[in-house]
Amino acid sequence: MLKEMNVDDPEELLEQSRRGSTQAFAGIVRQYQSRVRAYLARYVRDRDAVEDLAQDTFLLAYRSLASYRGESSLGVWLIGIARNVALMHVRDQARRRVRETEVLQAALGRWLTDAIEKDAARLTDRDQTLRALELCLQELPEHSSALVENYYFKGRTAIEMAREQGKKESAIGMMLLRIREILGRCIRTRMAETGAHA
Amino acid sequence: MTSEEIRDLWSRFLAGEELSPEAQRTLVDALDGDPELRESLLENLQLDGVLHAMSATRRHGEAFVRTLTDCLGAEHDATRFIRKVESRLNENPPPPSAPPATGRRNKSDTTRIFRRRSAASAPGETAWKPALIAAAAFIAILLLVMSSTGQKRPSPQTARQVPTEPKGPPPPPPKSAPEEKPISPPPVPPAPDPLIPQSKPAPRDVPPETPPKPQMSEEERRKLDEELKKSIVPSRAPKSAPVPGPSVVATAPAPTIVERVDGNVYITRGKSDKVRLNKDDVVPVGNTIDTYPSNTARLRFGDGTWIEIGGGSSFREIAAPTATSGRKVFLASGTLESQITKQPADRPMIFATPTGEATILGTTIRLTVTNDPKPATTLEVKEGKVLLTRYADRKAVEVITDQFAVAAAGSDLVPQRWFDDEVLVKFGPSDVPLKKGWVLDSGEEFDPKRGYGWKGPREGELVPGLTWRDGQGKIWPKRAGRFAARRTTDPAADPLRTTDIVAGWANQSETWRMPIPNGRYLISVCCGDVSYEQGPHHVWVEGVQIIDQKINKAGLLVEVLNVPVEVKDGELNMVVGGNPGPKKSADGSTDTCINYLLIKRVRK
Repeated sequence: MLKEMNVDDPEELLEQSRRGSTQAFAGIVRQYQSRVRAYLARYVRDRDAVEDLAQDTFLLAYRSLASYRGESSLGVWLIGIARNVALMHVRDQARRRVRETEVLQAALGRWLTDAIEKDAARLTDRDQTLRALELCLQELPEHSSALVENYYFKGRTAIEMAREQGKKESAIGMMLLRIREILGRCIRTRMAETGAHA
Repeated sequence: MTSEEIRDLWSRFLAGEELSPEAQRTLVDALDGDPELRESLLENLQLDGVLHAMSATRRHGEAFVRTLTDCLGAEHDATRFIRKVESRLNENPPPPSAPPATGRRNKSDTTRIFRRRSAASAPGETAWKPALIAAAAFIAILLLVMSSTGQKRPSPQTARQVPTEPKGPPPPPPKSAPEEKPISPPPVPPAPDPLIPQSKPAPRDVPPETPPKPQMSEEERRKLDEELKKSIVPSRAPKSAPVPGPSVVATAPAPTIVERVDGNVYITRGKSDKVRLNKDDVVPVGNTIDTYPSNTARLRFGDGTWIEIGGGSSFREIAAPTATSGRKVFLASGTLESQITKQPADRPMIFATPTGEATILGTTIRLTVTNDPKPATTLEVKEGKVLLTRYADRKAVEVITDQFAVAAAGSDLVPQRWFDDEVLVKFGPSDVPLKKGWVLDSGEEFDPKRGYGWKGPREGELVPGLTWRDGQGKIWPKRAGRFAARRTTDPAADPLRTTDIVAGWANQSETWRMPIPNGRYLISVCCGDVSYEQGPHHVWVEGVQIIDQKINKAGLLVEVLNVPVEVKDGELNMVVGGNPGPKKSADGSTDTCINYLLIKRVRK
């Protein structure tokens, strides 16, 4: 079964998955989950919801493997499914955010819905964003890199980091915002070099 | 509103801060009016999400794959089960005693089927099958419906939330299909699962004349029952969490509940979803609780253990107890107090901090994390025995009842005497009568067993060039050091104010020390010679000048109350004497006479 397959070859994993091998499909999930999750997380703020929607995406994909004809890459096809899943979720959330205390969340839902709808023609670019981001992270200055590592990858909260550094929580938030701006510019540059759009 | 102010608000929002409705509206209006800025900040928000997603993949990517594979496996199991039921149905047509083919059952039919099923072991009994098959088919159909609608089991994080309505039909195709790069149509709405055949309703019509078939054996029925039980699996496994083993499921602990919240306390779910914590909330493992200064919260675990999180603290439960390991909690900063219910000997509860961890089987403790001037963990044990391990060198020390210890790099990791929240140190001769809550200091050098004392011997070195004249006019060399004094022979006199220690001779300073837990304290000091003008008195506590060059008159003492200080190195230090200026008392002396030191701990 899986031992006889080339687990790095999407074509072979796809073929085996179509024949009903859940192990082969697990190989596909391993290869593409980061891209699918990253795409979903662009539009869905709730981390738990991102995990749910990623599951939905792959379950839908598994049940519809027969409809995949290979006209686009498997990654782009999966991002296409993720886009629809995310669109439904964001629309649903936007409808629920009607209370006075959630003005910003409601507006955010509106803006993100618009953004996802515009994404339909940019799925290939979206599929490449993650790779560009990985490269840009390596180019960050040491201090910024440490801040990103602690906050995003080691699970430290802004409050904890602020206490350790003797700063206000808002200062940490602003520093992270600036780092993301730098990363955004870097991604745009890298994508432009490859002819894509961030 | 300037662009910088908008970005500031946005960064606070992204960091999880709850913005006021006014601030939210201001932000929305500003961004609605500036599409370029909105685009830029949305990109920033999206990158925030992508970075979190990268972290999620790194942390539990493999668990995600396992969970998904299990879901697919469960679907296959359901499919196989339906096929098997259908196959058995074909092999074993219903018995002649089954109801007529009306498609409906009346009450007496149902009663009969139940009765027969309960006596299914009787020879020749077969009527349990239709009920079992119908139940199996119903469950299988239910599974398929749940699976296709994406219905989820509530996750631990959402256990208390009002269940959301089931998801609607699968997402529709995109409004505008991609034109530049055509792709295969996304599979929505999904076609019937090619891998899962549509279930057929179990036949309800049974021809009465059908001859009886060989009965299913007891063994077969047992197997089918087991398969039925196995088929009752959730259509979705819990999201993202590693699939727990059977032993974990069997010992799933009761949830952690918020017993009390005092003031502003927040819980951060995931990385940035920060919401206010309320009484009776369930606190899932991994969620961080942050208390504002002077605000507290009290949690109670399922086993009765409680934890009181002090003001300005950051706390989270890292791991719930399982069949093989105990509960582990993490105090990133601040203070907590806890009474721990007796834990299994092989699964102690662990209190971790950035600098060490306390391994506990059952006791009452207080744990404090400080970072200034260096990271330190203070453990106080009111009752029981706790193993405190310092991460820097893995050195460990047992801290027992009425002791405390401080784990910090470069410090002695030794148990010290428990410090009550309020202690009065009475300075004076060794026969001073003590009251409850007082400890006596007669000027002796520090003794770890006693838990306090002075640096250096009571009688110090000669001070070069300095002398003093006694009552007979004889001149003596002056020594550093201290002596105890009683200012009156009246037995009814208040010992608190009529006895003292004289220190800081000839502008020398003396240091008194007492190891106590890190934290904030209120200090009161009384100085002076009630019988004579003395001074100028000088007292510093933890670098804070409490008494500055004050000279007391006869009958009047210098008393300063409730000066806040902070202990950061596990030891309270008081420096007396060391007169810096030309000021002298009437007789030309410069000694400091200290009557008492009152140390009161600030709890919040």
